[in-house]
Amino acid sequence: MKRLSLTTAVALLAITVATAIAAAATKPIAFVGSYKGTATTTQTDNVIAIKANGTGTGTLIGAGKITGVGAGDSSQRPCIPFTGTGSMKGPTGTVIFKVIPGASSCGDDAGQFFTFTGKAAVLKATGKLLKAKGTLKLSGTYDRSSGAFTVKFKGALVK
Amino acid sequence: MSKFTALAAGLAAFAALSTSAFAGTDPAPFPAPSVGPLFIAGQTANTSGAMSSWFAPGSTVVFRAYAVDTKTSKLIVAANAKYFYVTIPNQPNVKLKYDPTAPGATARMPWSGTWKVPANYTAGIVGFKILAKSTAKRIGAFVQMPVATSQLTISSTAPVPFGNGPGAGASTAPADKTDIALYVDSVNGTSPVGAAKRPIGCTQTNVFKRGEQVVMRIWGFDLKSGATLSTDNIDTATVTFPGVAAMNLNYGAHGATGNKVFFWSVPWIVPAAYPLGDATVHVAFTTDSGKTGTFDYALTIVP
Repeated sequence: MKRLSLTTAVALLAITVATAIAAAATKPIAFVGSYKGTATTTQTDNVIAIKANGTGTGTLIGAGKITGVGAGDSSQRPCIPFTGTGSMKGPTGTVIFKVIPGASSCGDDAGQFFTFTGKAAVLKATGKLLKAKGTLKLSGTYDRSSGAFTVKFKGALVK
Repeated sequence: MSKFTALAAGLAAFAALSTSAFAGTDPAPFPAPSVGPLFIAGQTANTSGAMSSWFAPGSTVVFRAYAVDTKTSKLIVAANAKYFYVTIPNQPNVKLKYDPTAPGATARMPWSGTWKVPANYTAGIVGFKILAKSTAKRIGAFVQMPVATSQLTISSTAPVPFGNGPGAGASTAPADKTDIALYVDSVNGTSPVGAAKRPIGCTQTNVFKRGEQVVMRIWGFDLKSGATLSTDNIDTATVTFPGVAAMNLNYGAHGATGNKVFFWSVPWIVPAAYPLGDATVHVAFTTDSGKTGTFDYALTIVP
């Protein structure tokens, strides 16, 4: 009986430790990023090439820069679907992401002011977010006349 | 009126305008960035329930509305309303009564009142406001979306709706409580495919011919956070016409520079063989935090 109890206790302890480690390993990190800067869009036929650079801050990576390149399809209306890749870099980490299909940008009547939304898959993260993965929601605005853009990222990442 | 009373009234009026929607001078955003104590949504219709933003002098405008206490998320009904009325420039106020069966009112927009436009009323946009106060002393105001052709306009050449509005059965009463408060309307799009263009585009209407372009327009608030519904906080926003796959609503800016209006919209061409009669359009929003809000909106399709 004593031997059985010891075995059971050891097994329970092992399960508890394993569960704790697993829980710690998958504990979600609430990521929020907010950036603004300047973007350029160049249209060739129905393809819109997008380049964006800005500054802002992101959870755990700190204040830094964002860069991105992408492409949109202007044959689609009223909203233009787009995809692309980019990175958010700060003093304590980097997040490299890919905007996945489904993102779109909706313009005003004059085709000058756009509101966009979509999702970005985190391809790689470094520093304090090393090995973090997940999908972030992105939303923002783009003023074609001035080139000014704003973008917010939010979502849960897991290591 | 004492100076103190006048000052208090002025402050109250200002506070009221700061609530549901603020269409003040440039650059006030529409809708307001956050909701006030009472959310109010209003529409104008004729006595058949056909929504319209254009009326001729001598005709009768039905104002209809609903309101939600943004703290309790409960609808304002007769028992918890202190006042509910419409202010019209240079006209007596129009008191709204709670009666979903009143001409022009609906289960969704149960508060209504009528205004007979004087024969000599000045032509142009009517900057009306709907004001309400609950018995809990919470106040709110509704102003029209500042898109010129969809605002209440008096004109001797006002377009007439193509028929009567939806019957009572096409409108369903909302739940007593809601996490999301929505304003919903529809306008005639300027790009019909199988029907003639109307003389004026983007006027409010809920009676459409086959081949016309229906444009649904929606704005609202997350009552928990108080924030305007936007791509920042909405996960999914859809509109479903009967017999048609759900369509995603698009969020974006409309109107002229310096007078931007932000709302959710989607255009839809009424198919040539679409069933005639009333149709209930289902509008559904889900926030990033999982809260939901719906609005069943009634249309009438005519040949």
